[in-house]
Amino acid sequence: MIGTPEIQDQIRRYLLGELDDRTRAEVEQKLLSDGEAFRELLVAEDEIIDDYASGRLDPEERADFEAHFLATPERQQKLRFARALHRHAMTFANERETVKQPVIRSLWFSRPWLSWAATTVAVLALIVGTVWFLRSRTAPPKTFATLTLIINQSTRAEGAPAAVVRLPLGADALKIFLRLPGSLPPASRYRVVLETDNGETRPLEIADQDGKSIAVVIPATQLKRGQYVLKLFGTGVEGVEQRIPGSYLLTVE
Amino acid sequence: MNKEWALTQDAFDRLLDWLDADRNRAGIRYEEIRRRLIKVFTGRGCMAAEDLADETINRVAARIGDVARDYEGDPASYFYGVCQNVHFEYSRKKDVLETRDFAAINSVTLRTNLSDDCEPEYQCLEACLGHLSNKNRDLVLRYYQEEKQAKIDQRKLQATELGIAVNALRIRAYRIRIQLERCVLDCLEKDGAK
Repeated sequence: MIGTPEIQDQIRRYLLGELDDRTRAEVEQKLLSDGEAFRELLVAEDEIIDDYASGRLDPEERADFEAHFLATPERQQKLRFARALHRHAMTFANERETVKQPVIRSLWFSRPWLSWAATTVAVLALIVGTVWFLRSRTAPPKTFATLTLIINQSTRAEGAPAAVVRLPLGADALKIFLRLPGSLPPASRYRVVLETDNGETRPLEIADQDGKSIAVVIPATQLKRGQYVLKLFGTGVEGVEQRIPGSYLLTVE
Repeated sequence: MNKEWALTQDAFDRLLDWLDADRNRAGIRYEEIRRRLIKVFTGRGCMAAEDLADETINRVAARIGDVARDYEGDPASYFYGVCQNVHFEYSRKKDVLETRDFAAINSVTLRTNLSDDCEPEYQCLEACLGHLSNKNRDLVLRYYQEEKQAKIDQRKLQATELGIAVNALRIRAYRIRIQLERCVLDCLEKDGAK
C-alpha cells in the first residue's frame, strides 16, 4: 500500500496543509500507528523540500510550503541541506561527463575505422548542433535557484534589505518570486523591468503569477555581480499601466 | 487535569509497561510515538511541536492507572485522542499564539529565502560524502542529480542497474540522505564550536 502514487499524493497534500479536517485526521492516525506510513511521510518531506529548492513547486504549493511547511527550524535546516546536496549532485554529474573524455580519445587512436565513422558523425553533429544551438537559445532552463523578494516601499536604509545571491548559482537560472504588496488593487497584467547598477534596463518575462506573487526567471549566464532593482508595473481593469510604488532589491556577489 | 503535573519516574515506568512488557521494546515504542506526535503537531503548523508532544505524553502518563486498566486497542490511538485535546487547547489561545507564530514564521521564512547561502552545509557535505562507500556516494549523487523527466528516467535506469524497484531505490536514497544529514549537522555543530 505504501509508496503508491495515491498515498504519496495524500501525504504530500497533508504536508502542504491542503487536506480537509477529516482526511487530515485519518492521515494523522495512520502516521501514529503505521510505521510504513510514517516512513513515507519522512521521504515525502524531503522530496517536497527538494522540489521547493529546485523551483518545481507551482505558485500555490509554494505559498503553502512557505506558510505551512517551513515553520520549524528543523525544516529550514533541511532546506539548506537540500540545496547543498543539489549543488553536489550537479557537480558530480558534470564531473562524470568530463571523465568520459579520455576513454573516447583512446578508442579514437586504437581503432582507425572509428575516425572515418566519427568524421561522418561529427559533420552530422555539427549540423544538428547548429540547429540545437539556435533552438537552445530559447530553451527553458532545467534547474532553478529560488528567491522570494518583498517590495521595498521606503528608502534603502529603512526598507527591506537587498537580497544577496552568490555566484556560482549552482543552477541554470534564478527564479525570483516577487511578493505583491498586500494593499495592492488587483491588476489584470503585470510587467517587470530589471535595472542594473549602471542604469541599463531590460524587461523580464513573467514565468508564473498568482494573487500573491509574480515569478520571473533570470538565466544564470545573464547574472553578473552587481546591484539590481526590479520594478513592477501593473495594468488595471481600465487598461492603464501604473508603476507599483517601491522596488525589489537584489545584490549578486 | 492538573497542568502543573510533572512526569514522575513511577508514572513513566508504568507508561512503558503499558506500551510493551519488554522494557527495550517499550523504550523504542515510546520514542516512536513521541517522534510521530512531534510530526503531527508540526504538520498542524505548531511552532512548539516538541513541547506539545511532551504535554500529550504527560497527560497520558498522568492517567496511566486508568488507561492501562480500561483502554483496549493500540496505545498510539489513545495518544492521538489526547493529542487532539492538547491541540484544541493550543488553538484556543491562537489570538496570542498564532500572531506570535506567524511573525516568527514570516521572519524565518524571509530570512531563509533571502539567503540561498548553503556554503557551510556544502563544505560539510563534501566531507560527509567522503565517509560514504563509493557505491553509496554514487547512488545518492546520481539519484538527486537530474530534474523533472530526466530525473524520472535516470531513476528508472538506476533502479534497473541495481536490480531493484524504483520505490526501493527511493527508500535506499532516503536512508543514505538521512545518514548524510546527521553527519552534516554534527559537522556544523563542530564548526560552530570552534
